[in-house]
Amino acid sequence: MMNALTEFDVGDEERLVRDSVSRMMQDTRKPIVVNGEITAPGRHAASYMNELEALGISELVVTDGGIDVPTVRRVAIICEEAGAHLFLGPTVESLVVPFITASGLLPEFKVISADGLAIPAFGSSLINPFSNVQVVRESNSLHIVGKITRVPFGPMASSYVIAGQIGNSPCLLLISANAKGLIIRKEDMADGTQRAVINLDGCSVPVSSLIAEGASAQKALQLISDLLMLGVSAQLAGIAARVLQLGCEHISTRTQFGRPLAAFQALQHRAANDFTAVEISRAFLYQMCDYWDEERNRRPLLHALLAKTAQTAIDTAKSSIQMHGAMGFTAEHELGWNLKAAVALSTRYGDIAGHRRLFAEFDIAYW
Amino acid sequence: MSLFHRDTREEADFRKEVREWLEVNVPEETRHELDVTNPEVSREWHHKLWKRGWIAPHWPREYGGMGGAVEQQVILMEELARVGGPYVQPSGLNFLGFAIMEFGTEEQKKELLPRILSGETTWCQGYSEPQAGSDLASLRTRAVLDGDEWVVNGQKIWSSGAPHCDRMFALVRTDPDPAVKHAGISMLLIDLKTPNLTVTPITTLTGHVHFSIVSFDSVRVPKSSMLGEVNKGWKIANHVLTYERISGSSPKHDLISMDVLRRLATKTGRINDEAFKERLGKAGIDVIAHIAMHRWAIERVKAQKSLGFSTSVMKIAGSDALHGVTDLLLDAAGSDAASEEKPMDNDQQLDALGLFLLSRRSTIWGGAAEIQKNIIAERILGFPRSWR
Repeated sequence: MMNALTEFDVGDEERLVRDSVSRMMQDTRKPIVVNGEITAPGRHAASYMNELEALGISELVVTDGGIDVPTVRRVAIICEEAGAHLFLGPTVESLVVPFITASGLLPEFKVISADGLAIPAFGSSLINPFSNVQVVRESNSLHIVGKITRVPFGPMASSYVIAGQIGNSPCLLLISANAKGLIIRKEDMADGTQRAVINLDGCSVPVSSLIAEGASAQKALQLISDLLMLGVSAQLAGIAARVLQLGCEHISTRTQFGRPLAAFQALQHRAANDFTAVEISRAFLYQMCDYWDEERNRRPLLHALLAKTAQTAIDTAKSSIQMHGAMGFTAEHELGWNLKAAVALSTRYGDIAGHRRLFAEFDIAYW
Repeated sequence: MSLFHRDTREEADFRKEVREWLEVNVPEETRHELDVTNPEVSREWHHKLWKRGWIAPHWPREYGGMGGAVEQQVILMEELARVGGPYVQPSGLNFLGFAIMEFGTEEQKKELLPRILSGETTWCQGYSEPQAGSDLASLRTRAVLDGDEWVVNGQKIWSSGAPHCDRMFALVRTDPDPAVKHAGISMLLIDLKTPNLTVTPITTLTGHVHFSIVSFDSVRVPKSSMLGEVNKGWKIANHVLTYERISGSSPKHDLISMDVLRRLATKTGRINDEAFKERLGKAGIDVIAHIAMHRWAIERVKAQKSLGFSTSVMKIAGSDALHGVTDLLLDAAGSDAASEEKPMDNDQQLDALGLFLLSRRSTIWGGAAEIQKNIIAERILGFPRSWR
């Protein structure tokens, strides 16, 4: 993190987590040239996943204490560093399994999902995804009908956590990517990542794929969705911090008219506005972590946090490109990838306008 | 309980006690005033809070406060905002008082602090001058020592509350030819009833008499009225401004305006418009994000850690958030925004234009937004002094 930014980490342990993740990801920003072409960082998400696993990211999150504030803060730190390092792998998505395991909500989940990457496949809207998929129970198997669109990292997952309905009752399923009848269509994203359309019509899976039903399914979905929103917000905050740093470094070193660009008040004020937005967004992120247990306000505040960090990341990236002039408009420079990643992340689970409207619908308790 | 804070048992009890007392003691007709519309009401309210022992929770006990209880101060601020308590002139309580505690003589502490606390003496700030606004160090009001008195000549302007106050803490130039212009400035404590001193009120664009021009024509001030050392006033001024930026970035006005916005939008039906709803969400989100930072700052203060230049960040974020809300108030009011017939809701006037106009000051007072950006650029980001 840029030195000028406020340190919201508490204690040596959190600093250690941040440093470890930062060191592991230090090369991910560099543009990769394949056959003379610069490739999008997100295209290498799968190879980064091995490094994440080697670092033991899951172990950083899972504790004996269940889902407590330190756990949530570590998720935020990991995801923020991923954003700041343009690490475009399924960061928060890969934390769903350890997180939900630590919550104790789904005791069978850990055993079933131990192999490979289990991706939450709820589609881009996290609001009532149950209605997308209908499940019929027949003796030893479940027959599934439905289609889920916009599943981030769908093509690289080994299994999916899917929300559906058995009759009118909500349920969660864990389905292998190789399940009979499951069809995936890949979709390339601007940041190099891929998402999928998953067609489940005619898919048949064992009854053991059912991991939750009724109220427990709803509760688990709520927790997973909240985690995804927090993690993506943190990634966006990390991107915002990174592009701010790039902009400030550039105008401090680039000289025009015989003085550094940073000596011009117009650019100073642009940087000060960006800095203010990034500071406020990060303060919001870490306050959100500290009050994770306040379930009364959690969902509306997560809509607010995601909208705020997304807007800050996009605005700060735009501003930094402007500070860089034509250099910022090139494929070689990481700025453009940051902007694309900011757009991709800000639309991964809903969009900014939608989050604002959802927030406005809650009459939030300020006091 | 408030956003990003869990009350301890003691705090919850205090909040309950305050809330109940305010419900009974804040007169209906004075609620939701954000400026001095009636100085007598303001004084009476100050006195009432003092009698109850709640005027200065943030002051040390030895000076009559509640022992530097920051959380109690915040609870009082929040509950006063919730009920719409009358305006209290903040300069003595929130700014000067602390400067006297740090820089004043024992005599000054003994004489001045109890009167600030009781509201017997109200204070205004004498910083800006017609030719020295954001460039405060260019101030020209002169003070020359003549025997046991300082003789003051010059003009002060934009002093909040001056028409209703008893005294002014004024920055004056005591060295006309300093090596740097920040040097050679001192802080004088001046009685506004002193002969040859004229207070000319200025009406603001909201229609309130809030500012004034204070003219000094060889005004004689006792030598003992200097706060701190001669020519060392700049340090005190900055000390005061830091408190002003913390207090000025409180989300109180944002929350009051947000409450009016929701009620007005519901009343006019704009709340059902999806595009409006998105903007309402954005405005609310900016307020929440500002509250998050402000809450972090409170925890820092409680832990006796410095806020550094974060006060500038909070001031910008707070005033931007407020502008976002009050801009939207005009939209919520629609074609009735400029009408003098204000809609009512539960006996409260929903004055969109009034709040919109009042919020203009938030990017001006306590150091204009542009000055805060200069501070961030130079002091936080380490950029060279700008080419202006």
